[in-house]
Amino acid sequence: MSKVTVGLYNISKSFPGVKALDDVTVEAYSGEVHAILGENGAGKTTLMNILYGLIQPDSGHVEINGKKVSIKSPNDALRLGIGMVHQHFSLIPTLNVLENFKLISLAKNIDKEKILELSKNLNLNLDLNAKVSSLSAGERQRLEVLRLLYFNFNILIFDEPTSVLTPIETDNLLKAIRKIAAEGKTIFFISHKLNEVKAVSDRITVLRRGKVTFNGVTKEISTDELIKYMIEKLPKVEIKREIKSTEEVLNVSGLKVKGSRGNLAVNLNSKINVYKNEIVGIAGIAGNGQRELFDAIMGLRKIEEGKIIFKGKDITHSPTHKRIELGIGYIPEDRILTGLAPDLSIKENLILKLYDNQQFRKWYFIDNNKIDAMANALLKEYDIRAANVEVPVKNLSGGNLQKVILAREISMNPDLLLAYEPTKGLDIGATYFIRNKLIDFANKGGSVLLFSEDLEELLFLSDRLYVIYNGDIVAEFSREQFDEYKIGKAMSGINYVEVKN
Amino acid sequence: MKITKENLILNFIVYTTAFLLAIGFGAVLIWTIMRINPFSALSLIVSTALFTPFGRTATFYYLVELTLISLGLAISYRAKYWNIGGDGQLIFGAIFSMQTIFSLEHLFSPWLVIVATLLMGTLGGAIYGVIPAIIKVKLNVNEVLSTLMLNFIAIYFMTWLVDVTGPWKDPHAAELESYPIPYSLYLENPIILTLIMVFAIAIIYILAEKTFFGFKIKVIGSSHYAADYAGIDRGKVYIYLGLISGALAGLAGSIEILSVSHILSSTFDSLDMGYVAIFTSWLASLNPLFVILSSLLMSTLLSGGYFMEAITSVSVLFIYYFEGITFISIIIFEATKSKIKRVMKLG
Amino acid sequence: MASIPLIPFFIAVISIGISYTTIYLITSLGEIFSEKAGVLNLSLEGVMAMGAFLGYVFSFISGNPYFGLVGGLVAGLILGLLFAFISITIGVNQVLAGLSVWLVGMGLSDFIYTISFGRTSYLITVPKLPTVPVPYLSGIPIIGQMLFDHTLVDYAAYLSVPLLWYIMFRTNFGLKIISVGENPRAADSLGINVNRIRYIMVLFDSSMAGLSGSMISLTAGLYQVGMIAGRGWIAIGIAAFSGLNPAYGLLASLIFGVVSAFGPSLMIVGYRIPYEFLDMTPFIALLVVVMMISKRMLMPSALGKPYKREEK
Repeated sequence: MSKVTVGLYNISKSFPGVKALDDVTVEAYSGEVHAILGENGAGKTTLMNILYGLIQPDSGHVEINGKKVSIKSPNDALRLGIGMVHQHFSLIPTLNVLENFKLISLAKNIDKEKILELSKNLNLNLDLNAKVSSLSAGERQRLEVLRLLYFNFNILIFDEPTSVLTPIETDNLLKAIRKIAAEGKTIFFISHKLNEVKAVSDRITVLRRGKVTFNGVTKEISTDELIKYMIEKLPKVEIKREIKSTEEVLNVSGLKVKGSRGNLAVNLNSKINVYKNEIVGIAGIAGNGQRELFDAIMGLRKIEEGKIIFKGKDITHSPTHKRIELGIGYIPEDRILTGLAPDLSIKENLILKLYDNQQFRKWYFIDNNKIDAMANALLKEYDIRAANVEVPVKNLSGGNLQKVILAREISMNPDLLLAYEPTKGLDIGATYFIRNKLIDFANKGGSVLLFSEDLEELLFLSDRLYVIYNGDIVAEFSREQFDEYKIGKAMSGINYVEVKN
Repeated sequence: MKITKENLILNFIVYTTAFLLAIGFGAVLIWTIMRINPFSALSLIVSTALFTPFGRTATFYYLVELTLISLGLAISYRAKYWNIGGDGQLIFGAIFSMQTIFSLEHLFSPWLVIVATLLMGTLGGAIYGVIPAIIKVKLNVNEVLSTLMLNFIAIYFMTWLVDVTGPWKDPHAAELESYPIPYSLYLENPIILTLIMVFAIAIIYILAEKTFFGFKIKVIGSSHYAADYAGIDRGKVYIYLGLISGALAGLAGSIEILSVSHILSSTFDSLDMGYVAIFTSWLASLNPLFVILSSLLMSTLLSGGYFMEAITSVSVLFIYYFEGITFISIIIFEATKSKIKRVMKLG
Repeated sequence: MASIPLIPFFIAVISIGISYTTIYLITSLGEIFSEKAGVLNLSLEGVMAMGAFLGYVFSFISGNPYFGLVGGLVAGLILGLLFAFISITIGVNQVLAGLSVWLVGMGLSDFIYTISFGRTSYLITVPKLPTVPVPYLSGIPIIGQMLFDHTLVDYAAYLSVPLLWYIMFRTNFGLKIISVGENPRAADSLGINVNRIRYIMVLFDSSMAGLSGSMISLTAGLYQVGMIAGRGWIAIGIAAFSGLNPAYGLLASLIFGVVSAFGPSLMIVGYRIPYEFLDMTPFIALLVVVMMISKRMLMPSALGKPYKREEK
């Protein structure tokens, strides 16, 4: 008879501006895989970080094996036998594999044989002396899992462990997780991927905007019902758009761009183009070169080889301000440090790129009146919730930050708008607003190149869809050809294997 | 920082507390080690600096020099361009000035020479100030290190110039110093100096608050990622900042020669005005309009302290320590500002 | 160029160079460890000044120069604690925190010295650190003079390099230091106490700076305002381009130490040259080296940023 090993009771946590968790209660049993399912921003990672001691709850408590415990740091968690594989890697790239094992504070002597044994199970060929920086993303993720398994924790937390794995690797991992559960461990599996959750878990808790919407046994609920618990339904709107696709706005070919650690992040063998009035989506799992691609188009990254042609002009080596002038806008992934200057006011951020524009100058000086007028108008039009335009943007909530960026970019009337995860982590209202604005922009003659991890969003907005994998475009779909299964297949690499229990 | 009533009150409280702490600790030291009443020492400083004709003159000259240098540093630091080379740039301004004087003193009328000297001093400082900016942009060299190294190089170079092995030593003088500048070239007219200072304040203020150049500086200082993203050419801005802050420091060096010391000697800039200016620019919250106030405060302490040293031999070097403590209080305040605001709202 | 007696010159350069190197070495080794853990400590020039002063005072009070060295360590610990508190616990920008502690260290040391000792017209001297010739080895002609007749601190400093290298690259503790500087968030989630390790490294760094500062005053037997003369900054520069590796730190310190020794050595053999240019050489050298390698320097990714756990 299995018992409750981990209990999180009435957990609430707020951050400035947002209630991340609202009275959440979860109980997990030994010998079981307990999935925490939900959209981005639902609170899954926050909840697990509380269990792991990285965050302290505002209220509520945690019990391990029926006893109330206080977990004030990861060290406490490790002592309680809790181990975690994080969404963002906790490996140190400049050290080698063996050294990364030695880092876990409970380590005494590391048994190299055991490591090599375990690695066979995960199909991972490990050179213990290799520097982690030389491993691929998939290898690193499997190494993280391996490290967790080596230390024989009783309670394991996997936070989005398959985000950069191929289908075969995913399959192996899920099988390994089920095996460990069978040994009597308690496992938390955090994911937003329904099919994986369905395949690997015994129980599911669904979180939506910080609240528990469902808690029950996996076998007793269907995928469709789960979706209903995960997201509030967006009214499906039929958009009648005329697509005048004769004028090519953007043409990217043969592009090679280096990533942060020297490898080739973008390596295009096929080309990407965008026509006027189009919304072109890029689908892919994070870490496949999208960020480097977008940065390169904007001129924020060096291009090793290849060409970028915008409105007929070769902008491959043009500086960023020239590209802005010619008509490229960018909604970047990092809102508060890249897309906005955090200490400056809303008003100042709205003219962030307009420092050379004669429109806001009176002779050589800044024309404050004109700027105020424009800023106030945009504040209303985009429904930005702030006292006035003088407020520093760092005080704004996520949705309003994004609205400021959107307002600025669209009001500059670009021909091409690059949008990277424009609605990530935003609430329904803001998400809806931004998607509408993008459609509106395209209807009025603009073009959009969009990346989103949310496939549903891509399918909703795009006229055409490219799939990126390992820095190259591996598939292209027009709206009539949209097929979630085929697209998902392309996103995970070409070979796809069914996951069986 | 935005000028709101709340902010001003908060600033005032914290800065005053910082001063009192610094003064308090120093006072304790003075009292225990030297058996001098610190209050009388302090009042002696202030009264000498402000209420004697000799003191007032010294305070005034220090005020002008500090204001000029601090203006340049204020806008540089806004962009997080950490120029600590004020001393070196000041020295090069002085060197260029001396050379101008030596070359021109017999050729033209005094006023022409004075103007030329001021201009050349400004140029000298600008050149020495733009060098670290250039190597930052082209070679990614951190400006803290480069400006510091250049400071030392400048000091040694200047010492050589007036040393027995150097070209400018006055053979009749016992100390390491050059020939003094001719009497006709003394610039002691307070109106002209005030005009120069006010003009500089006006230009820097307009540049920082009313132009897009100042806007770019603010963006860079807030987030250099955002600046790159917005297409702002950071390198160009750093170079302009190097030129401007160097020029202002060089001008101050000229004034030091023409108005204060009238000679180049190995004890030139013994007060390290460049470093004091770092402090005064921070004290003014990097605001060009407040710079004159913080400079007035420091110049009072400096000139009063100098005289006090002659009488009681309490070293004027306490300035450094004083700056340090106040600096620490300020930056701690800046870092915990949001927590303090929250506490104040509740209380 | 007049003829320089080569052998005496050579002996002087190496012998003096080794002593100069020690100063750079001790301080830069400390800074290497601090930066490896992600903390840039710009206060060292001021810490050295304080170390020189307290070293002088401790030697004055006790009559024992070795006790003076303790004074140097004390100075380093106090200022190190101050800097660590401001930059790690409160989380102030490390550049500003370092510069402000530098000012405090410089100002306080000079100030207290002048009001307590400086009012006399002569310099009060204190017992100096003795040089301890190594038995047998110091008897070797020429080499013995150059290498084996130095203070105990000099010997200890050089011998410590392999030990420190081993600690950094071959022990678990060293791995923790590296992880804290590279990816503090990862280190934290592995149960490593990031801020505790940074505190320890900063205290080590400052103590070393304080120690080398006291070396300066104790080898001269007196204290003068400004006697550090920029060596703290040079040590920071050495740490920066040693790739944060103690072995390279030793190499760089040797180069700078020997270069700095040229001036005094030429004077010793009676060759007159404007000494200011020789004094300039360490600074010019540092500038040139930094210019050559700044483009390719790989520093720990988290260098300079305070670590706060709940920052998303």
